[in-house]
Amino acid sequence: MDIVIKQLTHRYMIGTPFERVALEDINLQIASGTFLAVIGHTGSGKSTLIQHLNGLLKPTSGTIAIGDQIISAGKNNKQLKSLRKRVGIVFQYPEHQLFDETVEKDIMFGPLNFGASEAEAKEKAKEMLELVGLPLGILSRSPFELSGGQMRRVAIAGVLAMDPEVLILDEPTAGLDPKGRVEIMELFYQLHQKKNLTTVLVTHSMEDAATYADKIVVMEKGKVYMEGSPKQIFSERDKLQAVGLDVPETVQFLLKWQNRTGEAIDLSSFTLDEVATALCKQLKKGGSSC
Amino acid sequence: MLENVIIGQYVPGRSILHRLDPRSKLISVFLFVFIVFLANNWVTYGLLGLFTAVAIVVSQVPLRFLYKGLRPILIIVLFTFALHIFMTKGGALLFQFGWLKIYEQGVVQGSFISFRLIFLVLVTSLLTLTTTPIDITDGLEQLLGPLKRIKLPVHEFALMMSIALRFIPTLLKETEKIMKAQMARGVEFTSGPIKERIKAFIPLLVPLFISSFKRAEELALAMEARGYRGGEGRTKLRILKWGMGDSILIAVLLILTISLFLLRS
Repeated sequence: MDIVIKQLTHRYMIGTPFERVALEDINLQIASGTFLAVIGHTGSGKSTLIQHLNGLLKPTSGTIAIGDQIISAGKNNKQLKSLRKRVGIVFQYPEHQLFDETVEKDIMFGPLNFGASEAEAKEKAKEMLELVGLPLGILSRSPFELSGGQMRRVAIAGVLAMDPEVLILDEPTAGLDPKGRVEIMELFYQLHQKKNLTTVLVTHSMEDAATYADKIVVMEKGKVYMEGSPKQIFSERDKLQAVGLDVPETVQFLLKWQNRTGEAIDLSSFTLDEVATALCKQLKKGGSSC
Repeated sequence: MLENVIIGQYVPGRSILHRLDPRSKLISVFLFVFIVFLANNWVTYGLLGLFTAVAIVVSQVPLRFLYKGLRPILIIVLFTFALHIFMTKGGALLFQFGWLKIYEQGVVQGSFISFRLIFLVLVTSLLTLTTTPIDITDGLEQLLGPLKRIKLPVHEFALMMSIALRFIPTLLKETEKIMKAQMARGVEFTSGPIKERIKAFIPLLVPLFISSFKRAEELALAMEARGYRGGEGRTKLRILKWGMGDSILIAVLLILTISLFLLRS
């Protein structure tokens, strides 16, 4: 589903001394099937932005069009439930939302709320648990007996079980170990490709953005600070550093290499594989093998 | 969603009321709660109203903000007003509709009780709005200090209170976060049949309980790690200072009390 955000502004706690603008005049277009990364500091408005995408927050002014559905200021939207089925959100530390007696029941919770039958939901629970890489044996166990990483996976399975068309991920790998991070991100990426999802990833990690995103939006103080393809964004290192961000480690490495050797290097590559190939080319030029 | 709750909320500011010693504010509010019940005619209610109004102006807390905090109480005020207006008989008959009779005394009594409630809520909220929770507990601990002699765990009590106050906003935030997560999974908290809505609270309450217990455990651990051993021999970083303004506040309260005694009928 295409997502079009027009002149979105959001204020918190209107009419109190604590009133503040969280988002100001956001204009964004996310084409169906895009993997979008939203980058920015804590408090830059990332989380506020994504909560608008399934109506958890309503705009103070402006509109958000998700497919054929439009969310706008003040309108009491009766179809929010169908929207929420189509737009799944994996919140930060999603394991905090687990509550049911068994893992199976917890995963079934979403599908049941959206009108699936008991049998369908059970089937879904099994399928999703396998998808997130957990053994079926834990279906009947309490989610609170599991390890932190397993709880995270169960919670993610609970969101995926709703079969969303748009998947929103709010720092889904925060607090995981490096191996877990890669596994979870790979899982989302494969799902994104296989089911042709529209994915919005909120992250602090430039590396994740470089590896997976088709498009990057950099937020700063509630506004869109930069927007473009990873190539475009990473070519403006000064602009990123001005707001305390930086290019991914791979690009940093290439820049250092360039400085050290004085050889010009193709800077438009930033995934690990691409950098390896680029380096290889460079080394071969110098006569050494790799 | 839960933005309108102002219990235990503090509005930062530099007004005279903000800078007063929490002890004088606590004593005054405590006294005020009692003397509100002395008023029984227009003059005495006028005095209380004047005191409240001056306190609000001096505090510099925005009126709109106070009104927001008052709004939930207004329902109770209206209810008691209605109760008094219909139940109290006496004075001239003002209005009659079938068996419904409204007497002059009813209107007077109803307004008095409503004002009493409003004054109480306003003055007590001013205390929390202009005093940080830490100051309140510090003040309370010192005021209750003498009770330590009869083996009352005053320090522990104050600590419990400050922890409870400190975690109200955290808990509200957590509630909102989990509510949103469950709403994203299709729970509806605000619509649908009552039975469904009550059921909808289970996915909210279970995670809240679990995280509260976890947080309590972590807090206890962090306190022990930093060598917390209770109130014995503990010194304070910020020492409360009783100033001129505090004495004046207490004097005003005493004058108010005496006037109420003299002017009440």
